[in-house]
Amino acid sequence: MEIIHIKELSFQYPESDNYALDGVNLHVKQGEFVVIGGPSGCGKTTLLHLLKKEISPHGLQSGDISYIGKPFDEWDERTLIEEIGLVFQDPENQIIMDDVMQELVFGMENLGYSPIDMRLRLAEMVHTFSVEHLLHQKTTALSGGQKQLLSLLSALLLKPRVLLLDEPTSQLDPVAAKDLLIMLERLNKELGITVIIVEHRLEDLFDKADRVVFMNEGTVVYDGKSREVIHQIFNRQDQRFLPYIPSISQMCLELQHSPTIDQIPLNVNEGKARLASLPPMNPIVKKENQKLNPDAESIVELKDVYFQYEKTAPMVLAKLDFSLNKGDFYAVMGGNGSGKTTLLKTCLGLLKPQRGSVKRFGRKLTHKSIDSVHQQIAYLSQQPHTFFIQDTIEKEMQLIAEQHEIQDSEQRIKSLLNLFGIEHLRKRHPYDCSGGEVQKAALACMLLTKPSILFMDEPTRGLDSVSKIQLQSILRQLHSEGLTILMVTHDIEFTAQIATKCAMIFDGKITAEAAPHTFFTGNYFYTTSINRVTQNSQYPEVLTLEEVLHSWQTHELA
Amino acid sequence: MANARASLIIVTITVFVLLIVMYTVFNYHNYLLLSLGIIGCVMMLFFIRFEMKSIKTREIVILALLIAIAAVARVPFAGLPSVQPTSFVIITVGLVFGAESGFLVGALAAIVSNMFLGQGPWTPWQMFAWGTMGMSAGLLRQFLGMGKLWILNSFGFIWGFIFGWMMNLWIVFSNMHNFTWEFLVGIYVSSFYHDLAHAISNVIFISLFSVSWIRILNRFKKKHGLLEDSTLKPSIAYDHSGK
Amino acid sequence: MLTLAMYFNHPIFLVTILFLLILVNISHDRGKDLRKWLPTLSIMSTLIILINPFLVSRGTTILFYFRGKQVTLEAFMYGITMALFIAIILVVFISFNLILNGNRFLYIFSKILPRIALMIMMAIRLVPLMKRRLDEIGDVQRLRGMSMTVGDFKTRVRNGMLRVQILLTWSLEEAIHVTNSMKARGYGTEGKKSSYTPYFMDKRDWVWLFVLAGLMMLCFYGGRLGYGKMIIYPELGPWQFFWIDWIVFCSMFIITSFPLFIEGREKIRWKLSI
Repeated sequence: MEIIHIKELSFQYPESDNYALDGVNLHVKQGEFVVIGGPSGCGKTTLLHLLKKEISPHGLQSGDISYIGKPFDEWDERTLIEEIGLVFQDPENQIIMDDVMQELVFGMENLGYSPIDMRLRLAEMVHTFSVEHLLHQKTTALSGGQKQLLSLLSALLLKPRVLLLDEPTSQLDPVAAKDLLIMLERLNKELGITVIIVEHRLEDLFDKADRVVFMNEGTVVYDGKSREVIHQIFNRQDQRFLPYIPSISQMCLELQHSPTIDQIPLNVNEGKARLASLPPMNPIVKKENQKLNPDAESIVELKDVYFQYEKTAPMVLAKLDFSLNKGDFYAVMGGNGSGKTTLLKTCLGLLKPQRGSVKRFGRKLTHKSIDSVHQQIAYLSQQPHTFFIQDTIEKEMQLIAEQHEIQDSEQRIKSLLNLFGIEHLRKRHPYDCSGGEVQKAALACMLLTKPSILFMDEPTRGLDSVSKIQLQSILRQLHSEGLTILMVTHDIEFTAQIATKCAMIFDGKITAEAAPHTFFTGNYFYTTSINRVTQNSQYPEVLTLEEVLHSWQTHELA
Repeated sequence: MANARASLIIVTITVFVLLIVMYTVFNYHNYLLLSLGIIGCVMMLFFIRFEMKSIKTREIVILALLIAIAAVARVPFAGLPSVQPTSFVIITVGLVFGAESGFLVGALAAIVSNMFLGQGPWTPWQMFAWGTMGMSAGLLRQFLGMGKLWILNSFGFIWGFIFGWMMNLWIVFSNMHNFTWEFLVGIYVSSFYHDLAHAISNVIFISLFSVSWIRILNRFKKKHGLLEDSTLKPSIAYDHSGK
Repeated sequence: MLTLAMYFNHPIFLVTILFLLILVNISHDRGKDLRKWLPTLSIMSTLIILINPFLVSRGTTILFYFRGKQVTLEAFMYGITMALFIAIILVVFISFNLILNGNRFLYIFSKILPRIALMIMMAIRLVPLMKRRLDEIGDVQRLRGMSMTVGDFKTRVRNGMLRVQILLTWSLEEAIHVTNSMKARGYGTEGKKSSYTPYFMDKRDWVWLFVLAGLMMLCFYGGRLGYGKMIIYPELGPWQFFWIDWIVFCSMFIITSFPLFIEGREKIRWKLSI
């Protein structure tokens, strides 16, 4: 049965010349798991919001949307609110209340359910998803993943038949993101809820989705089963969408010439099976490890550092030694609450350790030195827009140039904007830019003062695949020009491709420190999906798709 | 619901009248209670008016947000105890969103910030003082326009003192039994430096930030068509002075 | 209670009220907040008791002279009642804080002024988020040279407000998502809202309200006739109670201990059932 039917839907925002949606046709069957992807600004979020009538944006709309055979306008408001639920992108912005309980019942109260009905639904929900422990907490005390779960639950309490999700995992760490996706799969399989999810991190979603839809510039470009879509994109070598294909699928497609659609692997297990069926290859010389350069000058040095946030709280960093050498591209990884960010902030001088010494450029950090020698340091936070004071990017850069008395500022501003490919955003308000654009703009501003170290906190969070690739190439170039980089991240794939040195922080200490290849290849869980596929296969272990393409293919031919 | 609120208005007015009667006829000299009652009744009328107005969900969110910002504005100034940024936020809100929103944000910001700093007998006075501050900022724009920075500056300066004087009242009223003029003067003299600091910080904030804050809030207001009093002309004076 | 405390000034009345209020407070949170206030409270009371007789020289029973000024028993007594009075106010407000900051108060409030109550609740939820955001902004801005610790007063004030300004711009942009989230869950739809936490006034509550109001009237009436009060100036009145004093005292006792009775009833039932 068709539950949502979109016919020739076009939409134009006021004060915009382009169509946000341009003749979109989409049919969703009851119980389907549909993934919608595409670059930022392709219209996927607009489409999703138009499916939730109460929040549909104002603008010129033509075409029809119908729900179970009847157009939206003929349904009463209440039914649509109940039966079509929506979970938004940022967990912080959708929680209204202070108490978890109040937040959960918010929707039911608005719709005037009786207290008995509410209790019943709540009891059922809490029992099914075993969230008793969250019920009496304050919403501010929850982690990002728990917040997103809370939003999902409060939508579910209205017993929706369709669940819309707008990039629900983009603000979560990989573990919480996976949990949420597993939860969605369960809702879909066990309760038959139709799921329509807009996302840009698609690695795990291709495997779960019944259908994948790709959009670009307001139109649907691809629409079909996961494997069909991958196949089409790969065969056309569609550069717009290639980055969204899971690396495992891409690897097998690259290795095997014209495989059938069913042979495309979507997960590690299938990937391993696929790889085993391929002809063996001549053993090759392992790519030489990049040597860690111990002789280089150490510019940030932590010795015997202990840190705790409160007197009664446990030690976050304990007897930690760490050193960042000139020319490093250092990635610190670790689980949530492992102390990654604390380490970063200690290096930055924002947190003062209880014990131990922090030296930067060979000198001890003091309050004064943090506030006076800031131009050598650049810090890209998770919220890059917090950097901006002025209302256009251009003004911001001019202000910095003025403050630091930079010579030939106009030329430097221009070259930086060009380097980052954001010349067209020059007069834009930073808050009107997409996440990737703000990040680039903030980086451009920071580089005006020619810093020697760049600190980054989760630079890939919330970025779509294309922006991630752009960031990668920018960072590579900056690093090759001599910038030392320290980043804290969850993103294994990103680290494997770009860092020169990785470390794991665990139990308050740096536990493993090595070049990415050595660091990841031994790991069982904590490694890239390509690596997991190639472990114990007849092929040499590799980390990234790039590596596969560079080192294997030449040998395969031979 | 409308019915319930209508009766609420009646109750409020009745309480108000009863208080006055109690005071004048029965010679019941409890000034603290009386003043609290009067303040409560006045604020109640404002609140009820707001409840009965038709308003967009978005406007409720914005007001809640501005209340929260007014309440946390002190956080960055932990090292500068004499600075009072909350008043600046409230004045700006009144200027941009009008008298009623100014009153609401002022009054509720007092409750919310005291949730974290501690409620006390002073809470109603603080609500009233900040509420009327926000309201008068809205009225200022309505009657004088906000073209000149010096008008705003003197407005902020004066309010620094009025706020302090209003807050002194609770001490005076709660000690009405041994009221003397010396006592009154003593309280007002002792709060002088504190009030002066408040007034000066208002002036500093207004001269440094009123332009950019009004621009930010107006940009947002225009973008979403928010909380516009239809009686007021949009103020354009600030577009010239903004650099 | 506050009214009662202001109304009566007989030390025995005041001491009883204070004692009961402290018990009420302990029943709320085991006196955790009270203990924090205890030093302030005791210092303030002692100061008032000690200072009042030296400043005010009204009254006829002279105890001794201090620098030529008479120190009277009446002023001393007055100081004690003042101190008790202020202690009562403080304890009431500590209790008041606990009740007000618990969401229970807001639920009741939301029956009468739903919008205002919602706005307060939203703002309370936003405050910790805003504080965290201010920390993030502070870190980023400090590292680009906008310090709060270095520089002259004006620069620091400026840098501080810039942080709040960034917070404003940031949060306004996000307000639209908050709105959507509310609308998506039916806020602002036509029809009656309901409340998960039911606060109905049932028959028993009305009876209690009636009884309490009656007792209150009795107290006021008794107070108007001069019972429950002690004459301090110009000369200290007698301590003893007339029988009407006792009636007034009992009504006051019941009124003040009412919250204790409500809170305690459940606990006693628990204890008994185990």
